[in-house]
Amino acid sequence: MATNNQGSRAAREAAAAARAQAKAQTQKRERTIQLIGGLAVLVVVAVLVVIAITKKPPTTSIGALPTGVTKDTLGVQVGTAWSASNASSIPKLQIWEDFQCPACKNLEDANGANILSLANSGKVRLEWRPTIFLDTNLQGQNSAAGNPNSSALATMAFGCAVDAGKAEQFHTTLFAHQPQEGNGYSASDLTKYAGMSGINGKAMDTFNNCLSSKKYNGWVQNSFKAFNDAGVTSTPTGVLNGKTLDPKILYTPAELTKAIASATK
Amino acid sequence: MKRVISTPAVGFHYRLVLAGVLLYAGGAKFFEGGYAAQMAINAYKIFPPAWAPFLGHFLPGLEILLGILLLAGMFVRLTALITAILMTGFILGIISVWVRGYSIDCGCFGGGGEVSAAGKTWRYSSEILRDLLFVGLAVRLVVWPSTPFAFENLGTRHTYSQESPEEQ
Repeated sequence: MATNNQGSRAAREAAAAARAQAKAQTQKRERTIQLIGGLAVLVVVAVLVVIAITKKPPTTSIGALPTGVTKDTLGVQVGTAWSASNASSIPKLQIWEDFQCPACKNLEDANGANILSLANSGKVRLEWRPTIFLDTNLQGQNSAAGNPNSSALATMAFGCAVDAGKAEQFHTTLFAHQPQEGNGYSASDLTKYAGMSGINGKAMDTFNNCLSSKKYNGWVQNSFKAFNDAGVTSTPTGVLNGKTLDPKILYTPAELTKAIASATK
Repeated sequence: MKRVISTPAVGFHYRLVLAGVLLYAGGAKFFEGGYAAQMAINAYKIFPPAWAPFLGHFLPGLEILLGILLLAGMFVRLTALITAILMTGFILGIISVWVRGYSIDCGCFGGGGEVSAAGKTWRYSSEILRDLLFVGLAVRLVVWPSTPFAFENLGTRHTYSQESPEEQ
């Protein structure tokens, strides 16, 4: 009995030692695997960070700006209120728009004339802030129609029209002839609309040079950047004295006129 | 039902499905060009616009990382837990835009931004149901993380080679 007991105790102890050793080995193995896993995670994270940093939207230098446009907002300021002696007490209405956006055409049809008359009678400091986000959304359709990056091209043309002193006319004409969503504006369309806006003769040559050289590409790209940095995600977006307007107010002449009047200090 | 779902073989398939979804969704968003990621985040109007360029890459990057870990079968329980939390966050985001009346593309698999309001109810509810399904897959892996063909198994296999476990 005693020997048996001793024998089995020795066997048990040996087995326990073997188990402990095996357990230690397992733990070591687990640690190694976890270390490898952890290192792999670090490598993946590092690769993703590098990719994220390198694929940031390309920054284009602002370059030349259309007449009257400042680096501050990159917007096109319209009307007489900007140069009034009491300019700071006149409400500021900024409208983000994309020339390919059907809703912007709806705004233009519903309230465009009223907005311009408010601007030209000095009741509001109107600023058009161009964006070109539809070039991304409509990329496939625009390309298929032969007019890729159509919003960008139209906005560059708008900048050229600003130089010609025909900002309002060109703005109105462009929306009046807005192509069906996806078809885009061609360069020859834009030249035609410039002519319809009263740009001709020498001014037309300047306009064409300005457009074909893509003089205002930097302006357009940076205004688009400002749009994204401001967190605006749709057009038209009206901002009155820094506050985003309810679309119902923006689209309704009487409502907008009232909102502007009540914002006048 | 529970006996079937808890089997390692089922867990293995859940792991692969979730990994595929995460890699596809994360990849589609992460490698989009221009301002797409930023716009998709901004459309939710939850975070300040200044965070959008970071979040637009961080969230898809996290999805890719989680997808790789699930595919490889490493840190399965923790990975599944983070996935469940992330997906729950996405669901809350969608509910939040729905409640606030916005009409946006969730940007779940790239794209994103505002869209027409048509079919809004169907769009949001199907997105929420889909994400709930993914949360379910992830929770199952949190509860029973042990699956075959997992890298983490390499640490625990062939343990007591000299003895059969019954002897203990």
